[in-house]
Amino acid sequence: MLPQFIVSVITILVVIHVILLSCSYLIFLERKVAAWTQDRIGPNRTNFSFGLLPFKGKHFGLGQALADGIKLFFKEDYTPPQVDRVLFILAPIIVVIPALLSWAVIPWGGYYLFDQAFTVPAWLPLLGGVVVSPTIVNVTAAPINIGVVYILAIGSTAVYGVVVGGYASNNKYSFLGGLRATAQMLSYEIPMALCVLVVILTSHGALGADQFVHQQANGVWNIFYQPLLAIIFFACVLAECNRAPFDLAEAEQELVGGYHTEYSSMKWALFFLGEYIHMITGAGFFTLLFLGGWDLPIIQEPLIGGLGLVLLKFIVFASKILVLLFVMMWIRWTLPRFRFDQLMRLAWRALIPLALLILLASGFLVFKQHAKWFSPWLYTAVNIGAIVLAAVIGPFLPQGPPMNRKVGLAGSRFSPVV
Amino acid sequence: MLLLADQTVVEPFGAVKPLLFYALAAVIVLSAWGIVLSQNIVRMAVYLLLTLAGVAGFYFMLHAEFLAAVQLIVYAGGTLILIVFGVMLTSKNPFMQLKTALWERFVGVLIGLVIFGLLLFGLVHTALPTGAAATGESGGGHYQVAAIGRALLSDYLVPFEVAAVLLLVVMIGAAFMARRSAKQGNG
Amino acid sequence: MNMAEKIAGVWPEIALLLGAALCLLVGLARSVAIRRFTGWIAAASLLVAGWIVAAQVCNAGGVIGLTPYIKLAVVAVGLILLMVAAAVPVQLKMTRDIEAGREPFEPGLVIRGEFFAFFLFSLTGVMLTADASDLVWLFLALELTSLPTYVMVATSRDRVEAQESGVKYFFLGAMAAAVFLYGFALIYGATGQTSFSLIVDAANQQIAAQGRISPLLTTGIVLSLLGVAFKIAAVPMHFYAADVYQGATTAVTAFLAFVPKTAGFVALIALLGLLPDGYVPPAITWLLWIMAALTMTVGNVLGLMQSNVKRVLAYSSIAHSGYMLVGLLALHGSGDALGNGTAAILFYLVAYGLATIGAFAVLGSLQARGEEAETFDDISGLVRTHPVLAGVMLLSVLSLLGLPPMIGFLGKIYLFGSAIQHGFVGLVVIAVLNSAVSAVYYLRIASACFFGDSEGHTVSTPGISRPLAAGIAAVAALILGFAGGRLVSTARDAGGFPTGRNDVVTTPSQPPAATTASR
Repeated sequence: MLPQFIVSVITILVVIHVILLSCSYLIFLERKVAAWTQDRIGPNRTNFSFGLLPFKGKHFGLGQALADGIKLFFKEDYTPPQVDRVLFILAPIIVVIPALLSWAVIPWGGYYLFDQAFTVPAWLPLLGGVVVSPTIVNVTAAPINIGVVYILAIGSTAVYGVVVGGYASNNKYSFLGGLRATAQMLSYEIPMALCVLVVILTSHGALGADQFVHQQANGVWNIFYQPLLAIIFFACVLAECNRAPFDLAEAEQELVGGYHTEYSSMKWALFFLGEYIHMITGAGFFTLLFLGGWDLPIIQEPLIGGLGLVLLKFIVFASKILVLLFVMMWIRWTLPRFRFDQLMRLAWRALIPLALLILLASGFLVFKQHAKWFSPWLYTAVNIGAIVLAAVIGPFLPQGPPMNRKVGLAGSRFSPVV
Repeated sequence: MLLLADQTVVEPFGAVKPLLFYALAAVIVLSAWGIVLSQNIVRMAVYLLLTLAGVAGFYFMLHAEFLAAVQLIVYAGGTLILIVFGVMLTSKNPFMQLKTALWERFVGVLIGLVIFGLLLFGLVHTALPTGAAATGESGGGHYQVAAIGRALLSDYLVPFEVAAVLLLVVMIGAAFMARRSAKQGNG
Repeated sequence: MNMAEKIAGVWPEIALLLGAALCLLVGLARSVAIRRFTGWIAAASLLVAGWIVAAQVCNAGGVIGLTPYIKLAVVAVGLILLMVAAAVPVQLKMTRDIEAGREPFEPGLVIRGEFFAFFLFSLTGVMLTADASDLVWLFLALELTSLPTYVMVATSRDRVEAQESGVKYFFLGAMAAAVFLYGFALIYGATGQTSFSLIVDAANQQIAAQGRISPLLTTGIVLSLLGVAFKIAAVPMHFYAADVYQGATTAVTAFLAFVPKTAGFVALIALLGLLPDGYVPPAITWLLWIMAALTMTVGNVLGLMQSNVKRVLAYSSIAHSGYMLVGLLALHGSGDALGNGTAAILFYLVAYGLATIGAFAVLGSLQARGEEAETFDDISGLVRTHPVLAGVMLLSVLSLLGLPPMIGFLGKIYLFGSAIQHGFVGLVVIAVLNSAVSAVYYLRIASACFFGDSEGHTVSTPGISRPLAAGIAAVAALILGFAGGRLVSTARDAGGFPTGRNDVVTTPSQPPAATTASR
């Protein structure tokens, strides 16, 4: 118990600080990616002097991230008069907490070996003088046995912050944004859970987060077995953290700003931070399920080792997350936003049936996994088969009524003639 | 699978567990009061969320991690958000206040007291099992889940299927009523 | 009981579910002619289910236990109910418009499939309630009985009142479900088991250890009883009945008067079966005593004050729940038909069901001012315009009142007889007084039919099925009243299974000689 507890505390401290700090640089990265996509240069001048300190030079604009933070911190924290005050303050908190909680089960650095007994220094309260015997511990905040189900559970409460924020603002646009976010998150939770279910099934019923990494480290990453599933899961992750092209909840053209229209200063910053934490969580979840966690391909890394190995694994894990984050930003600045009916149709008429199909076929393969002809690459065949099937029969499925009828300009209320 | 060697069970935080219990209990009870006393439906939902999350915390403390996660997914993530969503979509004014008359409160308090008395009587006069056997702290989460799955598909197969039929009925019924009233509203 | 046996037991339910699924599919057909088949499909699946039950009974050596008894009763009464309900979809303007081609076909707006499917789903729920062998099962089965009825109440009539009563019924039903689910949770907490037989074992152990069952178990059973009381419309969960019965279309009202009530009483029998043999905590005895007395009195006294026949019948249904609760007190009876409360309830359920469905079917066969007949004015002087229907109504109310030679008389004899044998004389006196009071409003219905002045605005609804159903129900009530021996002995055998533990196999007790003697 105790060694795990110590490592857990250290993990929590390190991860929280590293990630929260990196969030501000993620915003910087986002601006750079946006600039790159739009053929601009992006922030490149702000240095670390902020006009006060004696630093010279431009530092590649790296000071911009801190300047952004400082700006947010010193803005006026304005609360509009007609809001539901308690909920208004509560909402940003509810946004951030579930996102942070999900990190508890992500196996950042594999295992750490206490190779010799040591005594806790006597000056520590509560623990002073306790002897820790040699043991192996998880470098995870909370190594519970049902890691992935836990992430899903926490993720399912993430929507409250948005709903409550939208409601408490007492603003129709915010309210609409909250409603949109709810419908969207509810819809995309289903294919997401189905994807997780498939991966659990094909990983011999593993539920603990570290078990997935083991399986993939000893074999092939799941993304090669389940390519379509990985794509579906990634789309769901994007939708769950309200990222473009799924950011209808904050569509500025239609809803001014969505659920956070009325927020300012640090409260608004918390919403923003929540989005980035969600991105990191989602990317971490994806890495865990499909990209082998801390596993480096080709190299057969030792499972258990000292601090150096833990750090290495952490860096590998973090780099994978970083790549995924870059892809998310890339998508955001490349693809236009969905219309709401398209969004719903995508979830209910494409992602969910496909995920169900893969679940069914994978379940059958798992049932037959001791047969002579079985090979895990059949999962890949199933995925490709699902893509082909969708492409072939998709056009023949009933389409439903057209959602928006085109009105000719002549005679409409926008007509310049009438 | 790699098992965590844990030979020396040191419990330096023996005092933390009761503390955690009472903290969670306080959250549950206070937010339950909040649900009853609040007049604003979204606030009620938030209080209800706290209650449900507190109960999930209890399950975690009892090492029933799967149950805790299911509690969060089903109640907090599914049912409650659907309620909020439904209220927001259907009520003419989502900012309405639910007003209760004095006699309604009186009757409510009376019924509540009766049930409270009944439960208190039942609990006080019953010897509840104690110790590790009662909390079931031996089972590992993974095997628990396997056991739940096996029970659902063997001993509880019929109830499991009936639950599926029940959900089908609810779904068809809801869609059916919604379509009909939408049509009537237009016509 | 292992899994294979459990599945073998639910074949009738599977037949009904398949029928329901088929109804849903066929109900979406583009052609009206095909859609009209849904009612026949429902009837066919009921017949198949009945045939399966009969085959199972034959395989078991002809012993009709509680479960097959309830299932057969559900099939028989269900067929009559189906005849009453067959015309419901045609009553709706939307169906008429679509079927006459005035409106384009739209899958979401044709109701035949859904209506009959929900009808079957609800009956499946009752059958599953009779099958239940653990708490989870019982809860789900009860909910499967009730949930379709909420939709049926709200959608089977083109009136705002129907939707209002549907919503009212739904919310109160949900609250009741919460109450008995809480009770179930406490039972589980007190015993650590969900299976009925294991709960009884645990309770026996508690008695062996302490001389009583634990108060937590008692509390759990009390809460469950209170929650299930909603399904049978007993005080204090009765207040929805009149409004909901009035708001729903008559066919659905007849359905409500029989189906949830049957499920409720089967559940109550199962719940009281959780108590060890011969031991009923005084708290539960008193609760049932008070509930029975209040339910009868409230039902009959409020029934006196109504001007709407449907409301009168609603309060009469409450009162009859009170009578049956009397039988529940004498649950742990001897093999003798007169001493066995379970047998008496099982018999009375059928007796009451036939009579009340007959009365509702007569109301449903009549139309006044384009609406179904509801008030005393509507049926006034019925004998001059529709003598057969008036006769059926007379038979039905006489059976409800419990006059010989109708079946209701036999039912009351058995109910009150079993209670007297168990020493509840005071309660029986109250029940008899209540029966006398109920004569006032039952005879008011009959006298309106026979001696009132016809205003001539009441016409019969098109279609033969409703009058036919009314006739069948009334004739059955009469014939069974004369020759009820077989049904009584069957009910007695069924009542010989004292609890919901249907894995217990007992041999049929005495030959029907005792029955005839008691008559």
